[in-house]
Amino acid sequence: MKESLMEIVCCPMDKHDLELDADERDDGEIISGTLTCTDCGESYPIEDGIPNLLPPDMRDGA
Amino acid sequence: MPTATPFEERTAQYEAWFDDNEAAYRAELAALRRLVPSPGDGLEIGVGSARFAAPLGIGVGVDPAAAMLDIARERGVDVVRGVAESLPFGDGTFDTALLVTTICFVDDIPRTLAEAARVLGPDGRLVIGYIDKESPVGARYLEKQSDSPFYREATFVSTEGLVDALEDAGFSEFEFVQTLYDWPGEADGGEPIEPGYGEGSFVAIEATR
Repeated sequence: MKESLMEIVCCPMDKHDLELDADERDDGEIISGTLTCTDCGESYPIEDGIPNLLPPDMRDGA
Repeated sequence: MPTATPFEERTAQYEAWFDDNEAAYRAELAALRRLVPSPGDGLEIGVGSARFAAPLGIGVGVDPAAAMLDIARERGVDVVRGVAESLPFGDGTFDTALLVTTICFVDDIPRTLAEAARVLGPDGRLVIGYIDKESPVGARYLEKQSDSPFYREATFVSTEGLVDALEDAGFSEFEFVQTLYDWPGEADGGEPIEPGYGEGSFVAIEATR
């Protein structure tokens, strides 16, 4: 994902801002990392460059 | 979220529909372009592989199916994995929200429309393209529903039902276009785009507040 996407994404549950913790970047894109809600603390993974902002109970394996 | 599964597992079959039914796809795209000549900051909800978002200039797409998003990204759309009922975007972010043959797959239509309204600015427009179950060809889709891995779990809507749900979500102004008067495989490229609804199997509504 592009870092500019941070301006529009939010927590799908309470709609508060997310904080980015990037693990791997490539050519300006964030390949892996975590997005954490600044209010409820739920964390959402960035998988293969795509932020997974499904509600936590719909995530794979949940 | 049961309806995401065929879209994860059958991306090739999904993509092949657009190639096998190119005249129908072109007609649907032309109908949507009539309502969305320029999207501004656009979001497609249920973006799939971005067959509509990319040519219409919609910059951002959200979908629960990761396999579809891999293709959408290659078509130049910024993608986010998520569901229509719990959109991961801030209030008033977009000028245009688009839902194309997606409303029949969502779990909760009222929540989907409320979320679309929330992420639109006050002058934003919601455009919904769908198979109208009360059109002649829409009725055939209902009969053949169990034959398709995609449509098996779909809940088709009528235009009146959708307008009622849009009014409940706060929309008050509506414009309609329709196309596809033959079965998609029989469309020959001469499918006109007409205002209104009731004849065409593919209807698009532009809803504003």
